[in-house]
Amino acid sequence: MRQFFAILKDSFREAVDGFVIYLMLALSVLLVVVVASISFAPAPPDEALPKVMQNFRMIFPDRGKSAAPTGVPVEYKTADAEATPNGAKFVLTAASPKAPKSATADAEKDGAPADGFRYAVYAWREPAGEKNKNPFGNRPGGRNRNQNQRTDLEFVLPPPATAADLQTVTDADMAAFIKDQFATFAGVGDVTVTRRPGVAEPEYQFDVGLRDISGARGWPHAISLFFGSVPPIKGVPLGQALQFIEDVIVNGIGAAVTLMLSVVITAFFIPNLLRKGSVDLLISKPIGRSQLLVYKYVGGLTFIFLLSAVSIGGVWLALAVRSGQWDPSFLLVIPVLTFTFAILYAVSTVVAVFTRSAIAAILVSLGFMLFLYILGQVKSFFDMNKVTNIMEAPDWVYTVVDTANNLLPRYKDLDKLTSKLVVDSTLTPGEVRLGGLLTDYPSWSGAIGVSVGFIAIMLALSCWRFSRRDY
Amino acid sequence: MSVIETRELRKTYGRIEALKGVSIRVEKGQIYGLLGQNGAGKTTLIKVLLGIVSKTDGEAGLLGHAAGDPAARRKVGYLPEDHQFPGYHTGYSLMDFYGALYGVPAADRRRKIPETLELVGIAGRMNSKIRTYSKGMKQRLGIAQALLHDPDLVILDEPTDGVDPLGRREIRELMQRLKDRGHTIFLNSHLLGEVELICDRVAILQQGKLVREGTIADLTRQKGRHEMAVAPGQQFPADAVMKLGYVVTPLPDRPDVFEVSMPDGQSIDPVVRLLLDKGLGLRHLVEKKQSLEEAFLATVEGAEPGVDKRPKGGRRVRQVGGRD
Ligand SMILES: Nc1ncnc2c1ncn2[C@@H]1O[C@H](COP(=O)(O)OP(=O)(O)OP(=O)(O)O)[C@@H](O)[C@H]1O
Ligand SMILES: [Mg+2]
Repeated sequence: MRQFFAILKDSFREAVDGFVIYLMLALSVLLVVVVASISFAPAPPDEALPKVMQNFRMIFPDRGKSAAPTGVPVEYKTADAEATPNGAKFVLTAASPKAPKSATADAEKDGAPADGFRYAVYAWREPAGEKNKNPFGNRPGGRNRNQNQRTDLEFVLPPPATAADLQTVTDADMAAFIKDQFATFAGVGDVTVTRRPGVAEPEYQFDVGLRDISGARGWPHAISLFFGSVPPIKGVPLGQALQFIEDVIVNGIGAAVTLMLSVVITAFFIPNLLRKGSVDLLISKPIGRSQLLVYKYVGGLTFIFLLSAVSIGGVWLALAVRSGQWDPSFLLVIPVLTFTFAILYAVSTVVAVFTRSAIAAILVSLGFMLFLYILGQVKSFFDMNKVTNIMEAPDWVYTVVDTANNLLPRYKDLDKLTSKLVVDSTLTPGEVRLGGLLTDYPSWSGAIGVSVGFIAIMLALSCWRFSRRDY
Repeated sequence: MSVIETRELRKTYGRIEALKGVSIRVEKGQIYGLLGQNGAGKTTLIKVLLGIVSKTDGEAGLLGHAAGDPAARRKVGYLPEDHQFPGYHTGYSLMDFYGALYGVPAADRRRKIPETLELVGIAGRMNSKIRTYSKGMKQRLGIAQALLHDPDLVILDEPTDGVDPLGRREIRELMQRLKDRGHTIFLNSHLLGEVELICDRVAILQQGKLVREGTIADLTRQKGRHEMAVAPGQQFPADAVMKLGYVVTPLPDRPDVFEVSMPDGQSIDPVVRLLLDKGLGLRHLVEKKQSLEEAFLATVEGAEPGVDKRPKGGRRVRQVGGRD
């Protein structure tokens, strides 16, 4: 352990010796400051509610537990909207879009009984109906080799209902439905709903009270940058703004830049160690060579770990303070980014041990990064092509792409998975589920397992070479 | 148990035979010097002992472990030739790093590092980056890092390289003190005058072979050559001595003193007896010695000066110092 920490400390010294690390730290701090300058103010209820309720026609059956949505057209209107401290109070009116006909069994034919709202609540309360077909359809010759990619999108039909079925919907069901819709599409959890008596069905009125709207993921917010010195951007749901900052700016652009710069800086560590005159000093110490190399490898990882801890931790903290969203999932991007770097650094290490050249290590690792990125894109394309069959491709192309993807580290998958972490921790449950329908997420175990295997092989190869070589 | 022991040790780098069956033994408490021309294989021998290169054949042991075993290196301090310390360290932090690798506890390191650097005379600069050190300062630092963990054996590959004369004397005295404290020192050097001053035993390598080994006295003694002179006013009986089979020549600069070399296996005693029998007074009898340098040059005579060339199948051999 003492040796391990000694080498970590040495790597740290080596890292902070150059100016590049300070440049990167300065950029990180700048990013954190810019993020901290953003303020989020919830939009007033009369502006926000119509936007939020646009989504209410979408219903997740089975009391919101179904993964696949269905839709029932109902018109929702608000009246007498008033802001309360960190909340809102208003009258919600739900009405069927069509002229009310009696909800008869023949209405089942087109699937939408005339009392649209009761039917919506019924569809929400009951288990999901039949699955809809893939809306893209499988074209003739389309492939269904479905490895881990979804080949048909899931929607469910609302269940059939008779007029008598609709009468089983109680006021409590209606209140629960409205609460669930606010939770699902606005991320507002604290909702009170009371049905107003004396309104002729199929129109329904409710007194609704919302609390804790500032910080609610789906609630539109006004976003101002640079401590309010520029005019705010209005009406953006808070979660989407956070997701953009965390996923696109930090986890996307920021991570790519950090990875590339880190590859360049750390690529010098091992060739420096192997330089004539330096290497004897270390390998004459009472430490095994493989141990030395692996410690040194881990030392290289601490570099990006510290850097991403500063930038991601800082951005997270700034956003949490500013927006009131304290979900810590985004912090998991720190270890995942470090792990992604571990894949590249393993390649850098092998090249460094075999060639002792930092330039070769940089070129090969960056080339490998690009290659994995392209492979990920190609894989996505062919997965899509299985469904849509846009491009005719012989079977072997699929085999090659799938095999390469299965054997090589899942650089792209890790990226998708961190995006999912961010999505899950910023967007509303409704957006998350809809997003899940469109995107297929790889598994953590697969992505990490194969990558760990790859790293192990690279390190084993490096250790083998390092241990046997005369210096 | 010997501190260092090799038996028929061989090392070949590709087609270059750097060591061709070297057997040496270094006992505890000795200062042992390894001499040889450039490219003779001295550094290679050390590197095999420390596991920096692997041996091709034969045996090598260090402090009771097989050479190359990390445990063997725990009690060894090593100063490599042409070392390059990482420039991002200060003298202090480098010592701290290496000390931790040797397993020296942090508290001991804090105490010992300034002490050791003081010993080699660079304590005043211990908080400057190594890249600002002069060559000799780096060399002194190199010696310090080899001593920090109080090793049983210190291996120094050209320790006084780049050090000024005063510093060289300090280093010599340091080695003497270490020896007095029971440490063993194994040393490569081209400065024969120094080696002669401090080493107990020396070995001479030539083209990867051990050509001489022994105490300094052994090496510098010139077997069978004596200087003799009789009392003033008396005549040295050169002819009578020659009749006994000895070769007698007057020293060019001192005509009254004669060099007497005897045939193999003979001792000087018959000459002494002859002088006494003749009633002559023996005033001067010295076994002739060489300086270590003369002995060394005599040993490696014939080799081209400077580089230990090793013809192999008519092929010109690689250069000095070793490319890797
Ligand atoms: N890594 C290497 N690869 C190939 N040949 C080497 C290597 N290291 C040393 N040699 C060769 O081995 C022979 C012995 O080299 P070594 O460094 O042991 O000599 P040395 O006695 O220490 O010389 P010097 O006095 O110049 O330091 C030389 O011919 C050298 O060229
Ligand atoms: Mg040498």
